[in-house]
Amino acid sequence: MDKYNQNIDIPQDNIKKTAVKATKITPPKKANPKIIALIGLLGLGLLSLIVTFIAQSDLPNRTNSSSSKLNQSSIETPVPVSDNPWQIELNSILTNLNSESPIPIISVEENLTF
Amino acid sequence: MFSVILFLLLFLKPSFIFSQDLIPQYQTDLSYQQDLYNQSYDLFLQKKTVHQQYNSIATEKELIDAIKKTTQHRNSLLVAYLNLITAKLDIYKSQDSSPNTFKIQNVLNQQNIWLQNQPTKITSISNKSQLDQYNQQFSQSYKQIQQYINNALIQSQVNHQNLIISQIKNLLLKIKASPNFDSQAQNWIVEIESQLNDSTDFISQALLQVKTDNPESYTDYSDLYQEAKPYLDSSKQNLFKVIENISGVIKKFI
Repeated sequence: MDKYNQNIDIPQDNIKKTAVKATKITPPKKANPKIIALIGLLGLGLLSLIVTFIAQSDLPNRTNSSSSKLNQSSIETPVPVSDNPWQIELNSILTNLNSESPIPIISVEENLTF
Repeated sequence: MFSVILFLLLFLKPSFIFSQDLIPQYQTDLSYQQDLYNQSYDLFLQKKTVHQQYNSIATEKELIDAIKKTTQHRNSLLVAYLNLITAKLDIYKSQDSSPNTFKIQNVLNQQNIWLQNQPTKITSISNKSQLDQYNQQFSQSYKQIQQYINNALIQSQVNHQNLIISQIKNLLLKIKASPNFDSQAQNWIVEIESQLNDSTDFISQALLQVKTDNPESYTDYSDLYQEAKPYLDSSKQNLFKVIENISGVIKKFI
């Protein structure tokens, strides 16, 4: 048993190092539920914005299809892209010219009789 | 203070923005009224055929009811149409230096009010004689409605194209002021300006079909727009060419 009661001479530096190493071990952090909820809300907001944008960009097509019964027509010309300010102004004029939607023509029966 | 400014801004909002906002609503209403009119008109034709076949008191009553219903829907359709036309005229009204647009809108508004006052008169119709009497009154008003609808169809496109011509002229002035603007570019611009004048001439020809005088002096107004349309189309196609040529000048010289 004496051999277990012997004083073991451990250098103090080694003890400190071991202790320091032990403090570095930390349990993995749990994700904050508030942050998850915030990210989720932001994601939903972004998704709704995309859906709204798609719906709005589709709107003119639907309007045109419904008004086609009323003999509406417009000439669509592709607008060239340029950084030149005059070309941009000219493109704007071209868009204005293309945007003209003539008033539809309707006809009714004037003499509703026997 | 802020709320007072906001309140004032609401009332000072330009009328053309107000009209533009209403146009989709008027277009939807027009489509809806057109459907109602078509349905009631089909029913009227059916009842007319049945009455011509049986000629009984019962079929006559059914036919009168169908005519009354179709007349109401016809008037509602015309009200929706006049609302749309008046709103469309508002957008480029500022481009018309003549009193035409104002006069057309004024007459269309008067006819709109007349049409809106008709439902009670139509409801009170109970026999063929009253029906014929009402048809005579309607024919007189419809003549002027047709005349001013055609005027509006022409004037609306004229005002829009005048706006485009004015925008092109402003751009040409800026291009001419460029330091890169040399004699060759000058020649090109002169040609473009001459081409732009062709559109002005086409528009003047189209405007000859706008008749704001006494409706009794004409027998048929339904063809006036069709007569003006080729000039309006030619002017528009010419404006596309002008824009294409200006684009060429910008790319080459500027």
